[in-house]
Amino acid sequence: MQIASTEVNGVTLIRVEGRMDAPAAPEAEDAFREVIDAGATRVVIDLSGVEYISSGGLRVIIMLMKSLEKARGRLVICNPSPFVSEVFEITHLSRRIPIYPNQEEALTAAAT
Amino acid sequence: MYDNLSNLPTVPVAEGAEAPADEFVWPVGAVIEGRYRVEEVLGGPGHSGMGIVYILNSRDGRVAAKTFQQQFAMDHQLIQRFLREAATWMLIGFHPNIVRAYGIDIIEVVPYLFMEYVERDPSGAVSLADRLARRKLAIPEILDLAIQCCDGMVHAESAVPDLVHRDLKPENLLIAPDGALKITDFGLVRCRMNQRTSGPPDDDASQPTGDGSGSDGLGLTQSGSAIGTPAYMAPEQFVDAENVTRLADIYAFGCCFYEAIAGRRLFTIRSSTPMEHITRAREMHRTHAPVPLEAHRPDCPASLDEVIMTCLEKDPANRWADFADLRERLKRVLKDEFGIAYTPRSMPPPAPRDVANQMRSLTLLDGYNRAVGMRHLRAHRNRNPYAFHLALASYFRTHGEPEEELRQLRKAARVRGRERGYEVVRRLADRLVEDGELDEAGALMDEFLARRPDDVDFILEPYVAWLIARREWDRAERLLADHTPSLRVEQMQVQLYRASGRLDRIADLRRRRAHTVIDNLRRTIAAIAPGDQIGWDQPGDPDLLKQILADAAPDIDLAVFDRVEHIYWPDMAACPDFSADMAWLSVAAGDLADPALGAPEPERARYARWARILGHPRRIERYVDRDELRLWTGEPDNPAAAPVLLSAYPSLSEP
Repeated sequence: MQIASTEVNGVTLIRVEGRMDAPAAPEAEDAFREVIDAGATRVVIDLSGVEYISSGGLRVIIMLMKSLEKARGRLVICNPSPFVSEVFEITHLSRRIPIYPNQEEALTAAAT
Repeated sequence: MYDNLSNLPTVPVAEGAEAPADEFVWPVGAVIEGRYRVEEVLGGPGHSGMGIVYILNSRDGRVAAKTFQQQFAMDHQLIQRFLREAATWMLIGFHPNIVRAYGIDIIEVVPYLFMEYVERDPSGAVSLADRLARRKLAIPEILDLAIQCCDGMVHAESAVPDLVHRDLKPENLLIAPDGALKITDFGLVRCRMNQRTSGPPDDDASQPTGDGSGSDGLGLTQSGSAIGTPAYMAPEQFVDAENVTRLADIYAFGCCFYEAIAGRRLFTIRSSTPMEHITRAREMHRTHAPVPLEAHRPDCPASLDEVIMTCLEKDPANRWADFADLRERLKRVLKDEFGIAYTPRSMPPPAPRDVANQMRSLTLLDGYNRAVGMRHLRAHRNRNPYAFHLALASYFRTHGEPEEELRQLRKAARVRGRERGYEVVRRLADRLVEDGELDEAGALMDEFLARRPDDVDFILEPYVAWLIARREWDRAERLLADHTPSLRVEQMQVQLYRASGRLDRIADLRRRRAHTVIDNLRRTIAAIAPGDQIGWDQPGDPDLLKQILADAAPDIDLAVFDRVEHIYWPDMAACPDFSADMAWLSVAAGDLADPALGAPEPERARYARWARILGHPRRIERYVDRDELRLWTGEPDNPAAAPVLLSAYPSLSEP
């Protein structure tokens, strides 16, 4: 799994590639914590490169969401694969984390 | 499979069904939660071991459900071990060579781990042990099974950091009728649980006791005190089971497949007592050299003998370094000696629902772990499953897990019966109205009121919310008018007036509220003497209140705040406490700041300023939830938890 983050108009954009499963979870958690520690409050995760997400991967995203909620920030997801999208639907995470089909809309949503 | 099961309609348990008591075992034929029919019970009271496995049938087929015997339900360490096993299994995910874990469910306060049911073959065998008891296996077949076992272990180790199974043995290597080997029973697993990404903590005991073969009556590993099965334990596991590495699993693997090839155990241990059995096993594993496989099995290639003997090295440093390395050696033997290329087993990829179920299970494990960690709640668990499920619902509410909260509320409603507890009706109806499930909410409350017609007050909030959602404004207003005016009633009136567009009435109510609060504050402050203790919600609040009062009531002498001792929640005792007044003033000011209510300037701007200073709406949210949140985030056995628990859940004190 690879994780890269950049800043776009005050929004932190995190791009994840590969399987987001239990072996990858600690790495993702560290990367997300760095983002929080750096003071980010508006975050977009681009999941276009994630073909599979496990319960371990989901938990890391939930932790990021909760950290941002505490900081009165916002987490937005974009470009989920059909598999990832369905997992978010079934777990009802899609009710708690806005999901957009493309990066542009997600960045706009996170910025406002 | 389990996912579908979890979606089946819930049916109340049979009349007279009670929470499992000590020694309780669901009998064959029982229907659990209206979803699973018990077909077979493995283990249980009277058998060795602390676990119990039910083979259940449902409309989607068979599943196995593992739990622990009720007599051990108060053994916190055992519960921790079970929860750790469950969490590990969830994190391992999906692999064709590991028995699949579908998910966790809490049924009448007991956690059940739902797993893949592995069918028996026509001879009735389901494990490597069964097969070895029935016939001699051909070397290529054994090699295929051994490589599959390595495949499973490689996956498990990659998914869970530093995982050590610690109980690999032929009984725990299941074989499906199609020849797929599946590793099971992670009950003694040791791993580096990342507390941030997994469930219960790793806290193991390492006192060896226990076992022998599956047939000598000592066969089941004694969870809670044991750390393995002596016949398959590495020398170092007898000495320090807590700190063994995967190399102990490689030794156990060597024992298993030595036995498969030789047709007999690595060491024959004769003993008359369990302790003697352990002592002798330990001695042999530490000092006796294994008999070469060729002596038992002339058709065993020397290359295979070498691979197995390397697994069985006394010094861990001399064994294969990991299962990936071992797998490659075995594949080479299969290819070189028998001309067979190993074909890994495959499985259908997991569906999103499978992942979601595992996710939900991890969440549930967190909540259950927290709940059983609280002594006061643990004591209530068995005799009051209703309250336990309600408390779990509370945990999930305070942790922002509304779906799991709803599931626990439904379980609370089911285990106890709706007529006896109002708490669940109130909370469940509240959630259902919020979710727009008005018919179900209405039926639930009607049923309650049919039995307790004079108790509408117990469910007033969801009932009024339900009437409002149905636009029955007049009925809601009449109902509220029958109640003595109070903050609680006022909140519902505001909700009603906002929904029905009578905003002027909200403005009247909230102006009166703001004035009442200011008057309260004036009286309280006037009664303060220098040196008194004053209670506040959080640091900084005295200054915030000064700012408000300097604006709202300049006649009040605020210098008194400099001559008192300030105490902050949760340490405040019985002393004048400003947190409630500040919370309700923030609500009143927050509403009056809304331009839609029509408050003229500069009054509106003034209320907006107060609302901002007081931190509306977070202040009231915190005030309402703070005790409950503290209950679930503080020290589990904090003595203060008991009164909080009982005030949040009066049902806990019900018989």
